[in-house]
Amino acid sequence: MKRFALIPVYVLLCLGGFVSEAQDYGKRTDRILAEIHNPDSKYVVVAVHRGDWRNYPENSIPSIESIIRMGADIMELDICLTKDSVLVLSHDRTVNRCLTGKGPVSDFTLAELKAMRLKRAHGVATDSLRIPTLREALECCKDRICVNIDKGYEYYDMVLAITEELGVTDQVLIKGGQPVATVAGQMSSHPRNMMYMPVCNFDTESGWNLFNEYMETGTVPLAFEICWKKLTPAVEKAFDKIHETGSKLWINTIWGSLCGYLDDDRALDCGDPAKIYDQILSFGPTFIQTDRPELLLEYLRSKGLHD
Amino acid sequence: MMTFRRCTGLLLAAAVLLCCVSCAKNGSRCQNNPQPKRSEAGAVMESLWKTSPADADLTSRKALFVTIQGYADALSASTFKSFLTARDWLAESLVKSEDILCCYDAAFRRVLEGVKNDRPSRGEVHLYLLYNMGYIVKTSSGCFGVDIFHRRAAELGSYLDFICITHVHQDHKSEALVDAMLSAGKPVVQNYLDNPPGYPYTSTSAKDYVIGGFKIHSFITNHNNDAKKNVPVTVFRIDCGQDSGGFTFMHSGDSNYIASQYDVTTDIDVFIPRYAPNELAENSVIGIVFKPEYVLLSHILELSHTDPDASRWTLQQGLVRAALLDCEKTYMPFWGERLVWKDGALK
Repeated sequence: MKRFALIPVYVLLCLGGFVSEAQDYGKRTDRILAEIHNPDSKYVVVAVHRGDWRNYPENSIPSIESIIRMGADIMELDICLTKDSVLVLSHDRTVNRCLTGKGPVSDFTLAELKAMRLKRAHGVATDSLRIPTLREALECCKDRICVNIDKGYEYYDMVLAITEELGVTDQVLIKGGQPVATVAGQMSSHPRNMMYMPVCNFDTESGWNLFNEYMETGTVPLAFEICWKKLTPAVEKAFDKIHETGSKLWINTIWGSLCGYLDDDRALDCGDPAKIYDQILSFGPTFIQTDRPELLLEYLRSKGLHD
Repeated sequence: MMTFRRCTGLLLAAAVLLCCVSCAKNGSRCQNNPQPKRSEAGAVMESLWKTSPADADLTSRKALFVTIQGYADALSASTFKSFLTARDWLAESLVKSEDILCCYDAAFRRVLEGVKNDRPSRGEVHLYLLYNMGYIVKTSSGCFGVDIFHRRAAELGSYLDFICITHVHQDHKSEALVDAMLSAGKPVVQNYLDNPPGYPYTSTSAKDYVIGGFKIHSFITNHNNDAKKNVPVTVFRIDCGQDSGGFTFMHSGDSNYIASQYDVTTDIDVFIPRYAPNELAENSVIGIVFKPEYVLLSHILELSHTDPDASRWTLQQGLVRAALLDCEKTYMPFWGERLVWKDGALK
């Protein structure tokens, strides 16, 4: 392996975002980041999908506050661009499901979106909860919980401008499916970067191709998000390779099709979450993204793998 | 015969009516915003306020302090600083979510309520601890604050006749309150303001003032032993006038207790010192230069400081220190508490 030639890429992708300030007593993100960057840590980092959407509108400020109170480590969120070029939190490209309006997010200005009300998971509109901007969400999360930006790599430079201004660049992990050279090129144009993680869906050829590109070029990202439906020897071997290179594994237990059907709902439905989550842990994940944060946190705490 | 559709419509209308009646009865409108589980922090503070720092048995307070300390430990200085300057939506969100900020806000509401509505009788003085070293003193004829530092401090402006600020450090003043006082033409007594030029309540040396029925004697002390780090700290000794029963209050801010700098020739009823970073330096003046009737140890749990090594003294440290000061009646009040001076005693 041409290790020496890959060092610059390694630095860019793995360490690019890790320039921490002095430790601040009680600053929770310092503790989370210390675990994330500690190669010997057994701590399992809990990322919560779109916040506490069971109790509050998804991707809303109260949904973030709720998972902070639970003790989760990462708020996973999605972003879209408004007509007047403001990044707002939205998973869908249209407002139809989550707001009291109809049409693409990009057809509305921020003021127009703010005039709409957020809906709860069952589609009923709240009285006064509004769509947050990315800036507002990051202000809320700052120093309290790390952030994972899922759908949003296309706005990398815009996001970075905001994280730099707020002083939270080190606390944000952005993911994507772009080739290694594309990501390296993007990051090389900035003196400091967010953490980055490639997403490899092993149910697609392109997912395997991306994973193999990383392996073949010896590029070691902070972590790989791996999605798989069926656990094959090839998938298990990929997990081994991730650990061997010193990278980390991110598993999504939100839906069965993303984790070999070892998902949160199965963990709940079977009556003994350990029956499912023990199998997930056997793959050695550092990160688990969940739709049932309380269930997962309780399980991990019982195993001494979370604070 | 009533159709099924009409019957359903009537039932729905009845349900809506019942809901509205129920909401009106509860004094609230129907809310469809999901609300977070109410923090227990408010109830913890209510329990604390049922006790007194002067209680002979501090068992209950100590137990409550353990809980409050846990709340404080979960909040970093950086988040507290963000909170202080945050826009209202975020500040409100943080108050709902961070237990110690729930305590902080509850204390403000309680003090505001007291300052607004309490009517001390002649010979009586009400002392309120807002936060950190911020005290408000109210008599039957006037009201003032010393070292008021709180996100919502400006809301107190209309109820205060003047304020004193011991020194320039951020945790002893509120810019918004200073602006509100100056705009209202009310005195802001301190040692650092140079605007407006020649402001009569700025002094970097000992000076006496009379404001209403209050006589203020101020003198300058050091903050630090290291001259390079030092900023002047004004100590205020305030005679609260006849209607207070001759009550004398002294607040020393972050003074570092160099005895020779203390110009105290009259009796002090209540003295507010800070927890000294240098072990027991308080006793360099207490019981030596003057013998106060009461000492209320302060500067505990200052959230803008990062940790106990950087002067975020814990409640437990405060209790230990209070027991070591050379004044038998040394207490450690906490945020939102009110003490009443009457007939020569503090209750």
